[in-house]
Amino acid sequence: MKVHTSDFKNQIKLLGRQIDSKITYTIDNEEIELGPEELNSITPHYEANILKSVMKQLDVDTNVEIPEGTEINYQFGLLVDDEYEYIDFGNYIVYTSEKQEDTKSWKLICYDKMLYSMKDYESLGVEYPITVKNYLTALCTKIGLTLATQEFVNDDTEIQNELFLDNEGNSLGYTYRDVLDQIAGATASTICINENDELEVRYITDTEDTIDEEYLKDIHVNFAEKYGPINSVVFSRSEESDNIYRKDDESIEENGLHEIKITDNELLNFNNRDEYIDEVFEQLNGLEYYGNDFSSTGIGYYDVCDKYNITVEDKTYPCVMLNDEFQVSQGLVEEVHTDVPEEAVTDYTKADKTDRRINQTYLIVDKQEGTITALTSRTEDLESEVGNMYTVEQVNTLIQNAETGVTNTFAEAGGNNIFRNTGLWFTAQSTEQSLIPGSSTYPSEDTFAGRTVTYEFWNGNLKKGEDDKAANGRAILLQDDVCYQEQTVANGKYTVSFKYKKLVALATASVKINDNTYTLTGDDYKEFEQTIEVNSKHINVTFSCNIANGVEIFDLMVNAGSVKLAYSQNQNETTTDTVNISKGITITSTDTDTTFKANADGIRTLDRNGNELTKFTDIGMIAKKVIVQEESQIVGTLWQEVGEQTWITKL
Amino acid sequence: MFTGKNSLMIDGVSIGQYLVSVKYEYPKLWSADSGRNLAGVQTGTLVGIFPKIILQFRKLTKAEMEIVVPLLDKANQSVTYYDPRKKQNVTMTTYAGDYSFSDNTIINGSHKNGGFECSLIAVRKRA
Repeated sequence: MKVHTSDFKNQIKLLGRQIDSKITYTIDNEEIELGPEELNSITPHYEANILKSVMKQLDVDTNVEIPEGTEINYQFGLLVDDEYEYIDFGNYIVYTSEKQEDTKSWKLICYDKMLYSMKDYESLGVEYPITVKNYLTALCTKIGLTLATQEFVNDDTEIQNELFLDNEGNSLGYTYRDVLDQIAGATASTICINENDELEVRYITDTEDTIDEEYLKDIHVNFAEKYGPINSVVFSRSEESDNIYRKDDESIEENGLHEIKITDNELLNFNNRDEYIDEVFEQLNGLEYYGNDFSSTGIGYYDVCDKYNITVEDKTYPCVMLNDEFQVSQGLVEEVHTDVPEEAVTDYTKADKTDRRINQTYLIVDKQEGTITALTSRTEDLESEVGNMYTVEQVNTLIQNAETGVTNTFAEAGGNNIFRNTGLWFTAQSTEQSLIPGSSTYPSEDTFAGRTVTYEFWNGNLKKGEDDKAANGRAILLQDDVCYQEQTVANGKYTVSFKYKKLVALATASVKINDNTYTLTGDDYKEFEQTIEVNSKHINVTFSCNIANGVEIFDLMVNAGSVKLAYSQNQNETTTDTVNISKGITITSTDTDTTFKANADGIRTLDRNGNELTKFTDIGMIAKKVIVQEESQIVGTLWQEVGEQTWITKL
Repeated sequence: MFTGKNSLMIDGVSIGQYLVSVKYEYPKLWSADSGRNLAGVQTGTLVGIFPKIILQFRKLTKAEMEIVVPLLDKANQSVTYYDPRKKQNVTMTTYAGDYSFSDNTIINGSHKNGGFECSLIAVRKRA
């Protein structure tokens, strides 16, 4: 309650009361006092709630301009025994000042020093863990206030870590006022500014004061159903899930369940929230009051969280002052209302007293980490199997090291290789070399010497070899020369890899990838891998060697990205023992010793020596030999076998 | 309260000599919050008592009118009167109400116009 005398309380309800108002402030070290001649109207008011902070407001209509940012004090006076007794409504900061040209007065909106908390939250520079009291003290210091209350609910409970910034100290969008709201929830209080401009953790206090009908106007007097007595407190996480509670079963049996739920509070979000709940329950258990909404002829001396009684005829209503509007002009009217919190109903079968119950499911939103942690028994099983989970890099390594199956599959189907003809399946089109084993033009080991065979997409001198270790069984044999392939690509990262082995101990070989050269060393099978950054939209891989057949290269793979992929052909290539798909389609039949070829040069069949047997053109087919077994029609004549004769009939 | 011929002054002019009577009123101004409360009791804020002095002028000559009228025509007057509550002379700022007078002959020399009435009302409540 504001400081006042019993005479004040008696006088304010009487006919003929005389009132006064004073606003004092200092400008340029000069103290200025405005009285009723300068003040047209003054309305101090606030809207408070339990478990929240409150900022009081003062609306003033004055004939004297008061600059924004000025700190003013308002006192309301009542003539008591020929002398005015003043009630101090406290200090306010002028927030806005608006000139009203029609009335030649200024309209001011002023707030108490809770205004200092209306800015973005920044680090308090404290070390964690920290008690709620020390945290609140640091917060007050940060915003230019002093903490008045030294003992309050959960004052020594610890906050484990910074809750209102992310792990890198960046804002999560909170203001200091938001943080005070959350502390109010965790301390079961209403946080406000007291008459000394200090921050107070305030609790509902029974003033044991009673007012009667003489303080109420004869219109607009309403009382709601009684709220409470509170006999259950529930802490709930985001989306009102994961509830823990404390209950007074005796009170519930007697009065029915009256639950108050605190939801989405950062201090009460983690698994230490059961450290907070007992004191909160102890503070709130038993709280009861009537909701109300009435117009008063003027009371004036109640403050926020004052519990008082209103007697109307033979009924007494215990009330709590949470919302008040004190309108002072020529006269006085006071509007009071207290809303009743919406009662929650928790499913207690899904709630518990702590978070430590085995098999409990909970969902924690960690705004500092930016994560959501869901703990269920299934998730626990999953977590225990985390050692069996693989990253992308591990999967690629597995594939490339597989000895069978995956590698072979890649060898037989088009894949991710940017380079073409890495198995030297396709000879250059200018020299029609047969790919049928045993044919005179099939490159064999005996015919390597002295034969020059060029291969599609390759330039320079190279020969085809074989190696069982190769994915496709084929190898490139480096000659005493250079050979290279170049492909056009988009700029970016690429990885070149291959396996190699020196076939001649004294051979010296190297590979040049764009502008960088790497020596191929070692006598046994070796692997080469290099990631490059392409800036010129091409990749050139050049092999060089100083001895013919000195080094073999196989599983040459050029792929996009910085991770080596398992060997595969180019996506436009498909090669099996009998089918090659590259720049055309070649199908080889070993049964008939013929090859079917369809490419840019035409559609034809070849014999084992590469001689053309049939050719399809735009006018038909040209063939060396056509064997018709039973009947044929040729240029309007019918040739047919009849018995042992051959008949030719004009059609 | 008219306690002597100089007990009523307007801007330093003793006005009693021009009057046949004077009436002192002390009206109360009540705020709009006045009314009956829930208990049926009349309640309300008294804004203040704003004294009102009603002057009844006798028939005045032309010269006398020329002294009185300028006082009444001003926007505000400084009026000193005896207040029995304070038991002393009190000065207040007033504004004058409307007044009128009629003549049924030519006013000159010793001829006088008809008497008239004028009110002086306090600008501020009585302290």
